[in-house]
Amino acid sequence: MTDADASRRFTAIYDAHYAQVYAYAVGRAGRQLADDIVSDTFLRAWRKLGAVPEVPLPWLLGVARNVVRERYRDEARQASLAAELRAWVDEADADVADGVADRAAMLAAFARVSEADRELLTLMAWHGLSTREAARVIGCSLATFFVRLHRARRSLEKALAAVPQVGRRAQINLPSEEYSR
Amino acid sequence: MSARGDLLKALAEARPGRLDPDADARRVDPAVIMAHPRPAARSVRRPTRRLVLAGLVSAAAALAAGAVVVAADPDRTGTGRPDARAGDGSVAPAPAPTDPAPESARDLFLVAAERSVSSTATGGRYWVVSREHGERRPVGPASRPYDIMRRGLDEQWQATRAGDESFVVYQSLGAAPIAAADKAAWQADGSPAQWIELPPRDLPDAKPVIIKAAAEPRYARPIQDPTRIWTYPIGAGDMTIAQLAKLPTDPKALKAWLLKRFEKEGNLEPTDYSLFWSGRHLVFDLPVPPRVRAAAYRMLADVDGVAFLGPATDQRGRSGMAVAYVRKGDGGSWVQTRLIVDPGTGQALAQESWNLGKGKSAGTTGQLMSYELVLSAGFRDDAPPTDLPTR
Repeated sequence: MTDADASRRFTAIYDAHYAQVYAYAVGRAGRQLADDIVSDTFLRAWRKLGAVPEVPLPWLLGVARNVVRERYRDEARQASLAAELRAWVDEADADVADGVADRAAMLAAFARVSEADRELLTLMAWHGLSTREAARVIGCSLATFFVRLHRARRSLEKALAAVPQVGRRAQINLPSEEYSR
Repeated sequence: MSARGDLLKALAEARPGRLDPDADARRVDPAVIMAHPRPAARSVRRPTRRLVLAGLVSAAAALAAGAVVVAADPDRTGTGRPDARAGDGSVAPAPAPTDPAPESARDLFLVAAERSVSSTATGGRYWVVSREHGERRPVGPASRPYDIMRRGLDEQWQATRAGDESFVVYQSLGAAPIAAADKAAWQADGSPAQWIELPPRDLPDAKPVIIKAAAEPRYARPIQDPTRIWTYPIGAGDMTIAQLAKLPTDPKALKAWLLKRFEKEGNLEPTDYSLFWSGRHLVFDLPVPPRVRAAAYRMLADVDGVAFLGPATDQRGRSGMAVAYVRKGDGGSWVQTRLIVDPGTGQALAQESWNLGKGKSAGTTGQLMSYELVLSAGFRDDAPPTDLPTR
C-alpha cells in the first residue's frame, strides 16, 4: 500500500465509521471521555491499517473496547458513565413527544443492568451489529454470545418490570413465560 | 415478532440522541491522526470470521464453526492422543499408589493442590491446550426423536513470543446415536449420515447447522483478535496470559479477588456456584502458573455445596476422582457439573454436564449432556504443525 493509498483508505474508514465509534464510546464511558477514546481508536487503526478488515466496524469497536479497558481508571470512567446514563433518562423525561414515557422507562431500566449486559444489548440494538459481529467485538464465541445475550435480555426485562411507572403509556408488554420453559 | 425481538426493538427506539456527536462538534481532523508514523505493514491474513472465543472454544462453538471429525466411532477407550507430540503435556496418567485415596471433595482438592505445586511447567514457545469435547443433540423426526453425541477436538496454540502466530486446530470427530434406544430410532429414521439443526427463530442471521456422522480432517485457523492478544474468560471478564500469571497464589486472596470481580461485573449467579465455576476453570485449562492452580484448588476445598462422587472415569476411560456441583438450570432442570481430577498429578481431566431431571429434588442418575476433556496442557517449544489446511 502506498502512502496515498493508505491515506485514502484511512480517510474512508474514518468518515464511514466515526459516528459509530463515537456512539460506542459514549455508551461505554460517557461523552466526557468519548472524544479521547475515538481518537485513540482511530490512531490504532491508522497504525495497523493493514490489519483492518474489509468490514471495519466490528474490528474498530473491538479496539475501542480495549482502549476503554486499558486507558481509564475504572472510577473515572464509571463516574463519567453514571453521569451519561442519568443524562439519557433526563433527556427522555424532558421530551414532550408521544411515547417518551416508554423511552424514559426503558433507559432507566437500562441504566440498572450490569455494564456487561448493557454492552451486549447496545451492540445489537444501537450499533446495528449482527450477533456474529457483536460476538467478535466482545471476543467470545457465537455460542457464548447467545447465552450472554439471553441473560442480558432477561436482566433488562427484570429491570424494566422494577421501574416505577412514570407515564401515560402502558409498559412494554413482556410476557414472563418466555423464560419459564 | 416475538416478545424477545420486541425488547430489543423497544431498546432500539429508546436510543439516546447523546450517542450522536453534536452537529457543531469539532471532529478530529483525520489528517492529525495520519500525521503519526505508521509502522511498515506486515503481511496480513485476510480476516475471516474471528475464531471464537478468545481461546476457550466451547463444544458448541467449535462445532458450529464447522469443526472436525474422525470416525463415527472414535477411540473411546484409550490413551491415544490426537497428537503425539506431547511436549511437557502435563496430563500424564501417573498415579501415586502409595497415597491413601481422597475421601471427600475437600481432600481431593487439597491433594490436587499439593501435586500442582510440584509441577515444573514454567514457559515455552507456545502454550498448547488440546481438548476433546462432546455435546448431546436431540435429532430425528418428531414422531420418534433420538439423541446423538457430536464430538470434536480443538487444540489452541498460543504464541508467547512476538513473531509467532497463535492459532487453533480443529477437528470434528463426527456424531453418533448414544444409547441402544437412540440407535434403534436412528435406524428407523433410515440411518442418516447427517442431521440438520435449524437456528433459533429470533436470530435472523443464524444459519442451519449440519452435523455429520463422519469425522472430518484437521484444519487450522489463525487468531484474528484485533489486538492480537489472546484473552481468557475468567470471572465475568477476559484476561491475558500475562494477567493470569499475576493472580494471587494465596487461596483467600484469590477468592477475594474473584468476589470483587463478580461484584464489579454484575454477577447473577449464586456466589458458591460462581466460585466453583471459576475455580474449576483455573484448574482445568487456563494457562496459570502451578502456584495459582494450587491456590485455586485450595479455594475450591472451602466452597460450599461441592459433593464428592468418588472414583470416576472420563469419556476416554482415564481414571480419576469426581466432584460435582448441582444447581437448578435456567430451563428448570437440575444441572450437575462434574469435575474429574487425577489425584496423582493434580490435573483436572474432564468436566461434564449432567441433566438430573426436573423433579422436586435432583435425581441420582441422569443424562450426560456435554463434556470436555483436557488431553494435554502445557508449554511446548516444538514447531507448530504447518501442513494443515486453514479456513
